Amino acid sequence: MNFAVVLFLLGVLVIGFACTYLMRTPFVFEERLVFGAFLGTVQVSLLGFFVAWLTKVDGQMVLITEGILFVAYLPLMKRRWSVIRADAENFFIRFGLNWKDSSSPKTTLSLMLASAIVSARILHISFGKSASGGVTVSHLSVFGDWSAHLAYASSFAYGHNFPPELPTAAGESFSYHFGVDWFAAMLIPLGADVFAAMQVSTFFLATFFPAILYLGCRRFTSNSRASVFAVATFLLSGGTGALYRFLFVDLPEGGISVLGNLPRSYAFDGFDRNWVDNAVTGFLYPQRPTLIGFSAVILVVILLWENRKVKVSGTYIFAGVLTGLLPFFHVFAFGTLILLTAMWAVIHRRKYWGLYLSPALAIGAPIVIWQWPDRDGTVWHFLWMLGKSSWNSNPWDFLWFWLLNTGLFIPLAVWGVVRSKKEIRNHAFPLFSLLVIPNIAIWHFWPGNNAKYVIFFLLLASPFVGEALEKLFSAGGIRAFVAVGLILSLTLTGALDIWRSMDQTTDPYPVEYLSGTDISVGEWIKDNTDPDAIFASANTNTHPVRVLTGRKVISGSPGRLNDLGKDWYGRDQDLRKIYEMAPNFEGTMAKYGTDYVVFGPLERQQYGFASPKSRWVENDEMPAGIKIVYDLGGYQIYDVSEMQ
Amino acid sequence: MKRPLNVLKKLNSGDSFEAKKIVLKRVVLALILFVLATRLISLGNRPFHHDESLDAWFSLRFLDGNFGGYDPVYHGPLRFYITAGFFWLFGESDFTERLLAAISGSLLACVPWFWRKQLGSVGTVSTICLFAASPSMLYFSRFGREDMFFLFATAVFVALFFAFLEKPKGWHPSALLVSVVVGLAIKESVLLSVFLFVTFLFLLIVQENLIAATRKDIYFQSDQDQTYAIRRWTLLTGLGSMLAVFLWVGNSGGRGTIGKLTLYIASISILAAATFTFAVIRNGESPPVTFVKSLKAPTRFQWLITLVTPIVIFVVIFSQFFTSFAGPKTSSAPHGALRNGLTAGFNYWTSQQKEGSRGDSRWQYYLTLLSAYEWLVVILALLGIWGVLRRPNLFGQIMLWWAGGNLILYSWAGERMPWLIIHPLLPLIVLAGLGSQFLWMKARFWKFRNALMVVLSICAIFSATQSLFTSYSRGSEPQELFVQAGQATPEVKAWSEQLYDSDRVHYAETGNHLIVQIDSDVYWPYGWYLRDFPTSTYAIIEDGNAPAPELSPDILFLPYWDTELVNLRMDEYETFSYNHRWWWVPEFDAGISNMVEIPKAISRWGNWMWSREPWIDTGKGSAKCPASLSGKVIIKKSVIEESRKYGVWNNPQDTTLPSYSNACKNLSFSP
Repeated sequence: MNFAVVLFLLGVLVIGFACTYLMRTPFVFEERLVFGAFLGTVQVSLLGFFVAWLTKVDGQMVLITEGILFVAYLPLMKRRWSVIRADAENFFIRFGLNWKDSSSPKTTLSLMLASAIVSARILHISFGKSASGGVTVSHLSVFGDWSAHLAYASSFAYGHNFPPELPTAAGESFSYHFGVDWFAAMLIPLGADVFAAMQVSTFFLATFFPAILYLGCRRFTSNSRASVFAVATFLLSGGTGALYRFLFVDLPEGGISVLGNLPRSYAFDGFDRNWVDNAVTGFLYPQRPTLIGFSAVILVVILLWENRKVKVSGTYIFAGVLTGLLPFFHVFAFGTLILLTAMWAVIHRRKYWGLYLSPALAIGAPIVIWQWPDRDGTVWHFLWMLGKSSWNSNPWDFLWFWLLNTGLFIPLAVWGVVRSKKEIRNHAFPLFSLLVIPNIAIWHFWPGNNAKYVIFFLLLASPFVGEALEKLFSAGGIRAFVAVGLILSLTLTGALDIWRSMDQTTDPYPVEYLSGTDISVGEWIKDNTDPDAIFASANTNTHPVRVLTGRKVISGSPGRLNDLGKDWYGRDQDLRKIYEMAPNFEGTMAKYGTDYVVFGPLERQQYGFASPKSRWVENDEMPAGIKIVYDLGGYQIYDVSEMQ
Repeated sequence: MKRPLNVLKKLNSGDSFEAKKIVLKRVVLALILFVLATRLISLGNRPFHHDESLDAWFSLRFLDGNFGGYDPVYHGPLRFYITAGFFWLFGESDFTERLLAAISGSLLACVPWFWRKQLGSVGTVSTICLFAASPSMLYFSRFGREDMFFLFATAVFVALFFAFLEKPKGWHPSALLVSVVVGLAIKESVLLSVFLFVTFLFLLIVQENLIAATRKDIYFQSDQDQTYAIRRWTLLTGLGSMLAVFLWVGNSGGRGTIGKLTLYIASISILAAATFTFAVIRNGESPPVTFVKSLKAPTRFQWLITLVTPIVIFVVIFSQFFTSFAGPKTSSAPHGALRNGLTAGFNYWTSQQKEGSRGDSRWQYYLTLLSAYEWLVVILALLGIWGVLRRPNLFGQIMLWWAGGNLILYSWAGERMPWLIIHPLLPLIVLAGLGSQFLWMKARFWKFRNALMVVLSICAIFSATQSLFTSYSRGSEPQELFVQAGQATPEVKAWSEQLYDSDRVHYAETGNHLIVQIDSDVYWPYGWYLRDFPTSTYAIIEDGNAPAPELSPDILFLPYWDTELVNLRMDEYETFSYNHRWWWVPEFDAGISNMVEIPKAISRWGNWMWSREPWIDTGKGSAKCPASLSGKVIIKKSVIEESRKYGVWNNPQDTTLPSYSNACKNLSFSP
């Protein structure tokens, strides 16, 4: 992480911190800081996106973006300077208080520190050097999901992807909440490479997230210990897989040393019986938009909750605008907030809900419509995974499914909600709709995506679980033991999975992700081809053209295109036509406006030709008008832009 | 100028104690953040020094589970453990290797906060400012050896030592002993600190006995003056005696040194006993001895803890967290891990004394460095010393003893290296802080106070600017006196990066890795830079063991004395001149033989201070321009061609080197 990147992130923090003074909500200093990290990211990303669209992605663009925001907030900061000083003074006074004191900021800071340590470890090992001079990865999250995120970030940083097109399906609209990847792309002109940009942007947001969650939970729990329990049950969630697989299988077999090399994930079993992964290793780490989405939901709920009595219009509008911008960052967070607030509005029927929902829908709906998949993937069903994968449709499997995937979280949440104050309880019941939704339909082409609703239930219900555990714990005696047992049962699986993700050498990782040859070809493409150029390349999980150059390709990984509702099959077949020299393959290339065709190890493997050169050389049928522009290390790139 | 003055005025105003504390707290916090930033920014940029690369290498070995254990040649193992922790957490990089030094250097800036009552508000702020801007402190806070970490441990030890005598608490003895054990696990120099402060304790007893024996009535001014006089002369006599003893010790070798120093301590302890008896006879009762009073502070349980905690920590550190009790079994650490921890350092140190000096051989080496880089600190410290001697108190005495004692000890000790400057410098900075406070109090009513402030500010700005240049832009250039013979040139970094790039494309082309041979004489810091290189690069090239045509390495790094040994088909190779390490050893403290040379000496020092222009001595013929350990890089033409084809040949042979405008104008580092 170089100095320019550090300065940029400090700028983000300062901008977000200043932004919190726009609201009348009485935040304390550390709240302004942690919420500021999130708010700053949102604002810098959004403004930067439009500045980059108008100019280009470079250091100047980043400077202009932060400069505009600094200038915009300067009068506010000046006006509120005495309040800021008082907040800071108050912070230092509270810092001297005992840990147990509810206003002490030490717990918040400790959570940030713990998160920073865990994130630093997980993220720094995410990429490594391979013997061939390439790149290794050390976790499934990076090998899988980050392949797409790398391509998205690269497409902005190196491919000037404005107006945004899906870089993994040339010509298609960018129907994905790419905001956090654009945020990572902003670090690249400051000197970070695309890998470091992913690591640093994730680290920045992940460091603040547990503190945001904790401060959110403090509003709905009786003391800070309950909030800590809530944070733990969410971040270390993952069901009860470890209770059997670890305690009764792996630990007796391997002894305590098994902790040094855990043989498997306990919250994830390859989408067989486990469908709700751990919040960190299954969501925050691989699914980068959640880094913003989770924080956004918590902050908006806090704003609405704190405003329930004073009913300041500005706060509703601010929260509404923030919600409306969310589809850019995390469409599920937008959906969750709209669903919950709509239900609250129906229950309470007050006009201030209009102040919130109007801007939220006015801004958010057009973005959602723009992102809407071309084809409808909704399939109605009953009880989510029952009757699918290894689950049978019977009541026993229904209970067992939720017990395995969420442990006793749901009953504890129900208990916590029932026991809570009436005012809280009335607002909490709609949360359970987030459990109903995944049970009535598959919304996004693949049933696994329904976990994205369940995770929001776990997030928002965690304070009630924390409170229930605290009540048991503080009762002492046998109930305290029960509480400890429950906490262990709710957190062991997630804790082991996070521990495993901190281990660099867990089988089969680290694996080579890009070879030295891939790096060379990527560098050449970046330096020698037009940023708008369209490439034909293998649609394997990873490819240097997508990851390193940001150039658009005919097809990225079919699974991911399917997730986004794109015609993955048609594009896959078209690629086959091109590489297998099917009749009129020239026309197929022209259909996508293809500029270059890549023949490399991945194409050879995917499309089964033997020649070290290309299919065209192998068949001795070089199409007219094409020229070879790169022929090194087993890669050939043909310029086909002038093909007749 | 107005704003800082206002802050200083506020700090010393008649405002309420709380208000002043808040202002001081804010200023100190801002300064500490500034210190942290100066230590961390671009921390990994400077090429590695030989010693830094070895530290990094041992940390890596510990991380990989291959660390043999404590060997005094490489000093204590604690920083290897901590650096390995940083590697584990943040990854292996030049930045993380230097992180421990940078953090220690930042934490040291916090120490004056704990002495704010003794230093005064202006003194506290000045001490931190001087610490922040000191060229030596900044440079060696960004230098990945153990010295800054050790200095931090020493500062903690001194803070505890002072607190134990001033306001003893039950936990102080155990903390003090733990700090000694931690110091031992960092560097053997802790023995010097222990010697220094044990001697001080005896002197303190002598002083208190004398005061008790001569005191009539504490409220009489004459009695107070007498107390000050006794304190002053005990301290000065103590420092004088120490200087005399070390002049006497000279190069006595290991055993001789130990014998003479033991005799010295024995003499002072006899003196303490004699003065005690004298005081008892004079007063008819035992004199109040601070140290004895302090010993009564801990309870029995706390004494038990005092005994157990340091032992446990010692065993934990030296047994590598109970994983290895065997020790590395080298000639310098032949025993088990725990016995090595107790004795090997001491034995190695005494053997080194026998072998004679390493590094710079001149006794005035540190005085010269202090004058060259830390003149502002020295000027203010002289004021501080004046203040301490006028009205000596325990804090001032400890600081003066620490500064003077360290200067004597390090000037006498066999190894004189630039990084050791920080040990006498830290107490001098604290004395400079006392000097600033003294000056501020004295100058309050002066007519020329503002003018004085302007002059001091200009000096501070100049010194701070030079400090930044020394640490950031020319930190690895040989005209800086901090650059010792082990400092790698930027070419080493450039070639390392080239090796990775060339290997990547070579592997892509052929499926094989490059065969790289780096002569053992120029292997470090490549051992660190090439830690991820897929094949071994270490080679011992000497008569009868030189690469022959049939072995045909792809790339060969040789020092100039081995270039004739290789017997390759040179038409297949291209040869580049290469500078591995560099340094400058000017005759900067040679005497001036006649008056005519004075203007010239002033001129060359002035040039150096202003623009770091090196000089060659006039007429003596012994001094030289900066020079390098040069050699050759012999590389296959096919490898260069291959790299060029892939666009990764970055011309490492053309790395920009510093150029000078005076007598060393036409200096070419390579032969």
